[in-house]
Amino acid sequence: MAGRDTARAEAIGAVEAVWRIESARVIAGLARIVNDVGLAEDLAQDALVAALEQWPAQGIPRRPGAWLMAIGKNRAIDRIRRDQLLTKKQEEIGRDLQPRQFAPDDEMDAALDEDFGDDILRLMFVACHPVLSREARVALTLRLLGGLSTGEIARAFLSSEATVAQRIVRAKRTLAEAKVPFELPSREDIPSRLASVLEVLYLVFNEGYAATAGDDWIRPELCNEALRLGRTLAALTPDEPEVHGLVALMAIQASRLAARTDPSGEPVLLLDQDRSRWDHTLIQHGLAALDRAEAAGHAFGPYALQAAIAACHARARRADETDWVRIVALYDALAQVMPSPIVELNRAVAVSMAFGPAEGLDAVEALSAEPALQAYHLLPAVRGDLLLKLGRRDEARNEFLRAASLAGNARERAFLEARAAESV
Amino acid sequence: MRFMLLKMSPRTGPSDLHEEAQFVRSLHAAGVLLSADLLEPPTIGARVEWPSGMPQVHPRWPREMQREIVRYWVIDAKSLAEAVEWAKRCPCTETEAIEVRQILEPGAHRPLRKPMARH
Repeated sequence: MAGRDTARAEAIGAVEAVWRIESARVIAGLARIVNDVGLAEDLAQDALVAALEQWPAQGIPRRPGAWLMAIGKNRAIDRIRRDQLLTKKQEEIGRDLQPRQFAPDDEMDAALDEDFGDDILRLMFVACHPVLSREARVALTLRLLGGLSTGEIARAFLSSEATVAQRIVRAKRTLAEAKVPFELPSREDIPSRLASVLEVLYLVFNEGYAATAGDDWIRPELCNEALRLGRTLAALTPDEPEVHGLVALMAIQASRLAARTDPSGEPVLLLDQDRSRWDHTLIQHGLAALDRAEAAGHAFGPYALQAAIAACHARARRADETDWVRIVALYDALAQVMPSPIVELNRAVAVSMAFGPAEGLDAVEALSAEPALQAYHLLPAVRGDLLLKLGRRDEARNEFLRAASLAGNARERAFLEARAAESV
Repeated sequence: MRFMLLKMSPRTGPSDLHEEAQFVRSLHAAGVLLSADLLEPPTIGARVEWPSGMPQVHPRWPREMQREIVRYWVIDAKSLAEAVEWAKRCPCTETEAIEVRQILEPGAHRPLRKPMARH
């Protein structure tokens, strides 16, 4: 009995593994046939249910993707036939629709492979379509392209399963009502549509990156998922520099995941991290992706520039080998393509590292009237840090206390209060 | 999780590079491929052994095993089951094999991730 249970659990694990590999291709392939992503996903789910019923007993078919696709197609025909039954007389149907069932064969395999890259790309663009809310784009992307279940998405985003389920149902309905075709965007729409896809991937990544040590394991897993989808997108759109830029940015940031907290879970600042604990495989990948971004385009966009800044840290074997002058130049460029007071504040920090605290303080003072930064705790925190380096201890202490009063969480508040106490 | 897929082959004949290229393309397109390398035959390598505690170098060592590692791929998969599914997609002859090995997470004191479970 126990042996049979184990075998069954193994078979179900294998079905899940196949689903992870094949689901996006199957959904995309079905969407091409029925021209409705929501319906295609329902059909693919039907196929998954059939696989969970049959594979544990019968074994996994030799071409599991083709098998899933064939079941999905058959269900599509069933639905068309049922819909036609509602509108047509019985005898007309007998003439129109000969029962023709698709069987998984080489032809089906070819149909899966042929242009499947373009299908995946279409699926990405539709899942991140501008008619959908940002939350809906994220949920739909993970569901359609990541093969995540509703429950997994809910856990990853600390949301209830009912909320996510409803969000997905509504998103599918919105796409159907807007008659969003299963097509690639037109040439002139590609930049904005691609930006939406990149934004969704980076949102998924950051949700995982923000997870703390005690969180459910699925939250940091989001970083991997975003990276995987980013690499897929880069494989399908090799000429888009910002796609490579985002892959580079995510890879280099993810390389620091293990080093950014100490064994007790306290955050470790970038310059204090043990660089031997950085993930050098990911760094290599990030740097290679950055090279591809450079090769694909003449000027860096926001993602590639942020990746280039991250790369300056990744390339430095020790914190004091960091090329801060180059980082300042990259922040200058970033401020041009993505003007933001936060970018300016980061630039001011880089200026202080490159040219000394007095220069940095000038740059920070220039931002003190910036309305968007009035309630931002890092502005006084940075100013306090620079004042302390200049020996202006009383002023530094006041800035740290101000920063502590603005900090959003207890851990940061405690850290800033401790710095205020050190300043005296 | 990272896994290494090691292809073991008796090198009786060249494997189908065209089919294998297709396999690698599918890994790449799925976003799971982290690295891929073909290995030169052992005649170009060397083996270092410590039979008496001192290193001894064998530039060409006798073939003891039926199968040698001829290439390897490093992939990012959610579970061992997924890595095995990918291995099953690699074109192999009857005498070849794929060994699937998990790579230890780099620099981690993180708890080991639980295997993927669908509610």
